[in-house]
Amino acid sequence: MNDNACHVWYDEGIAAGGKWRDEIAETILASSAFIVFLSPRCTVSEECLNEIGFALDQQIPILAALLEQFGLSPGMQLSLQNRQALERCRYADDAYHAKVRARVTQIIVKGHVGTRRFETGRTQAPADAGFDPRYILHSQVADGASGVVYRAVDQIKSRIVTIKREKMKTVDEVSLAMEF
Amino acid sequence: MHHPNVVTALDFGLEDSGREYLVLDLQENSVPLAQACADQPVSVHLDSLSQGLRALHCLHGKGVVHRAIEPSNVVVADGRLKMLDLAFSYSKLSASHALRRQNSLYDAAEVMRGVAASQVFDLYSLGLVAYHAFTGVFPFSLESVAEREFEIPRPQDDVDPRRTGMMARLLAFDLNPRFKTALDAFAAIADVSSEIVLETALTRESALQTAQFQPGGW
Repeated sequence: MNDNACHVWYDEGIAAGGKWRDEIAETILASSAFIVFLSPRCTVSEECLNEIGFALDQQIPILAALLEQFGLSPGMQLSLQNRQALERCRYADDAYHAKVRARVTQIIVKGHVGTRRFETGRTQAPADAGFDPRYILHSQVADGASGVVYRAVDQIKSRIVTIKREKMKTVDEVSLAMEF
Repeated sequence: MHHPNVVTALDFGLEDSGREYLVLDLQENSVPLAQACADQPVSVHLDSLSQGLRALHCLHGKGVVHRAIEPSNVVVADGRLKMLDLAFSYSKLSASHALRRQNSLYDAAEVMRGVAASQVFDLYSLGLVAYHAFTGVFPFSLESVAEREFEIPRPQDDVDPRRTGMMARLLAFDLNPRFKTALDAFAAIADVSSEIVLETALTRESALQTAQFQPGGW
């Protein structure tokens, strides 16, 4: 997923303590899509139901991936009715991964990710890339006083855009901010 | 900001290094204003200038001064002028973040003397870019920015009288004769060219898209 323009977060490695619930909630709020991997244990977990309910309340697009064939609990059925679902056991690994990528892209586009980005603030690039992987830089178009401009592809919107990257400033340059 | 004559920002972000980036719509097949106006009739020149004034009318209406209007930032794609690069722009909301920039040949003399940039400053710069693009002549004898501080621009009498008075006011050395707003300058163009109107279907649509909801505004 990370290699395909999706910045994936899951709740592994959250430090123990009273803040973990806040961290999960904040991450769900900032997400473009929510994937729930359903197993028999998950369907009776109060925490899982809470997280799904929170994502639904916040209108985060949801994809349900069933890890095996089993009967959903009534509560889970109620929560996920009419949501997109993908049955893991029906596909080989590669086909399954491709399906997940395609579905996630689809629900992100339908979920108006662009608007959410503007409303929720700046897009934080993942640590392993210097840049939001949604955009693939192609060629440099211009090099101006304030930044360098590139031609790029927006993979989610499937369109060509230009990206202007700020020229890195030193502390001294920042202090030159103009006073009016 | 959403206007047919101002480049549209689609997204923005922060790289892990702290570098900011801005995603903009692509100006495919764009050419500098001078290239777009070469060997074109005066009506095309006036239309281009009017598009630039519409852009400034929009920016100034939102309290933004562009501050960096020069040939590289005024392009034309498929007949539509686009004003680019708001990196040095100034607004009251972001005054403390406005970047310092070096003076350019397209700055008004008063700015070189340290007067704060204003709407009038943008109008002067647009006029100078347009004059240079339309005539191929720079209305100064001095090439150095430093020497330009006190030199009075001398636009030649244009081959077409429809532009002469307007250019003289756009490029006036003193502030008094200059147009005070983009709307004033636009009115001067509309006086000599009945085909040019301030509001088009595109600008109207843009205004609607960026209008702020005001409860009880009706």
